[in-house]
Amino acid sequence: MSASTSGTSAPAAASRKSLKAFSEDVWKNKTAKINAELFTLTYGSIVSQLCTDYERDFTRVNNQLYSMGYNIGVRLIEDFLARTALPRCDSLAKTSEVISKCAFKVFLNVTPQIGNWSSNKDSFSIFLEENPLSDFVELPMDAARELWYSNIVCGVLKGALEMVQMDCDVWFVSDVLKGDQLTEVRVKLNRILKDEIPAGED
Amino acid sequence: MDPNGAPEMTEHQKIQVQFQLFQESLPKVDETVYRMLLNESIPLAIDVEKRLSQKLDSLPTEDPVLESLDKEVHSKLVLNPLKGNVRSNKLLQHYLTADIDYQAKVKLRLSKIGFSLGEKLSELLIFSNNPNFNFKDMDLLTVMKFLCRDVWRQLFGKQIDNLKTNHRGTFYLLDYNYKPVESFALEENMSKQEQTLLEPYLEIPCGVIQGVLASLGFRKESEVSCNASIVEVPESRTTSQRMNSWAVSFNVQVVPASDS
Amino acid sequence: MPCYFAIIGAKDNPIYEAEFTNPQLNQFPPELKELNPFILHASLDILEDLQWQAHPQSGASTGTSGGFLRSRSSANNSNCYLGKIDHFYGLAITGYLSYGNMKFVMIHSGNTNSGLPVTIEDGPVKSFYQEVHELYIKTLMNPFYKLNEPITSPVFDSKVRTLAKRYLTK
Repeated sequence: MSASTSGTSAPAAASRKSLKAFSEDVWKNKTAKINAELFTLTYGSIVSQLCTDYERDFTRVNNQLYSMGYNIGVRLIEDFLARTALPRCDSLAKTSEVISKCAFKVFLNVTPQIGNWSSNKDSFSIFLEENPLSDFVELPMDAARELWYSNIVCGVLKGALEMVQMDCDVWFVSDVLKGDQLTEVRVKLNRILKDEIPAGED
Repeated sequence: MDPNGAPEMTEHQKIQVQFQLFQESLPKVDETVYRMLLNESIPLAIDVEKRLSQKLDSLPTEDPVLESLDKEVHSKLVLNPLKGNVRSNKLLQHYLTADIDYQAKVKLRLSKIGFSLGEKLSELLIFSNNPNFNFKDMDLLTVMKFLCRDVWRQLFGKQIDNLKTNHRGTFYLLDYNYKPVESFALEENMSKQEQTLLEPYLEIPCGVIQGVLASLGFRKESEVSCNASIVEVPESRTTSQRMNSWAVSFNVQVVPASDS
Repeated sequence: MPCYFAIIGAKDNPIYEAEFTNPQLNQFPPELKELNPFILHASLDILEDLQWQAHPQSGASTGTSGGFLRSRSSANNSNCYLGKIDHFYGLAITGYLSYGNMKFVMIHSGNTNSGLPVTIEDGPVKSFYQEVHELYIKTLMNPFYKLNEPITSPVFDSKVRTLAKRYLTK
């Protein structure tokens, strides 16, 4: 992708725009698609089965969803890199932009906002205004406090970022399903991994 | 029998095209993500079984000091959601070495996920102005065709390749190119291990089939059964595009309700 | 006009019920109010009969199938609406069937003073049913809602009532 729109305009703005257009193109032309409602329904069946299996111990459900997401993330990143052929990000700011404008767009056809940067620029938030995982979901009373319904997302991000040598913590801060104003996922970079050996392999 | 049915008139084709356009206009997500979600459900189900069976062993390791803390603080302190994470391939290996009873529990869990999906899927798909469905011909064969065509297309992006029936409640739904295991690169002569590993991957669709049937009135467990097996594809059916010499056969039995 | 609306599950179990009344103008007389569920259940048999009744071949005999069957044969996606299926003294009962065998039924009461039989305006009533059906599907999409269990969501309830205001109790 070449960001050569017009030489005089601010290069940062031009590249931001091009990433968006580029992702739109990948979504339109390089992506096989399926019905979003089917996706929602399938994820819902998985979560509700987990709630039954763990006898509504929602902490365990959260962790299981996270773990499932991690196992998906470590492989999904390959598909993502193969499909987009994006260069390595040189900053966390750039990474956040690729996550919101490209990864979420290409996989879920949504473009969440990024914000809430920490002063030392090592953590940021992803604000999911639309969340195809949780469309139509109403949490039952007993789940409203502890269950992070879309926790798989955190796992996916954790796994994917780890594969590009970024050791991050990823967690839900708030979720509209719980009555919060916003759905906010927090990403905090701990360190850049030197070797290619992924953690968590026992 | 071809689930497409006999060649249709142009009017019907027009409606089909409209329906197709309508389907395409619905919100979408990436197919790869969906495939991964579906396929990852198998290691997930194994993991759940693994963690549940370890429940008793892991209890004594809880730290009493942490336990006594306020729940919020507690969860923050010991919050490591990746604790206990086992990679998918290891989980599958674990499944292979587990006993039959354990494997059956994993399969049941998957079939339940499929069932609750199927139960709701039919209402969703039919509601969407589906021209292939009408009350007037809502007999069992139509429901099976609905499964072969609409449900399969939604789930796997393709139809069932061949539907066989004895017209007395037994159906064989043959899929020559079963998408979830497409990438497994399975050889012609599958080993016993490979077959065992394949089995849980057939459970969700089995559940879906039963769920769809249940939601359309074929409800009682004693009356409906579905299991899947690997069958050899007759030579005559093998075409150049299809590499597999085997197919997945979903065997559905519906005992007609004894009343009426 | 006051209406009593219910969704009945596959095992003839109640899933949801609501009464739409305008407190200033008209309400069900108390003695009738208690009867409503029974009247509805009595109509379920008729509803089930209609469900399995031979459907006129598309196009061929549309004109001859009068009454409640007319609306069923008009368009392929509207054959869920059955129109008026029964009556009980001055009350009219309409029905709608989802493909998953959920029965949507409603008792329409006319002006209780006039004693005249109720006239059903198929247009708005059908729209009401179709939109409730859509709400029902959305409820179904909620993974924590189990098929055939009562719908307790206050969101669903308030949305159904909004629809009733728009289409029925003007």
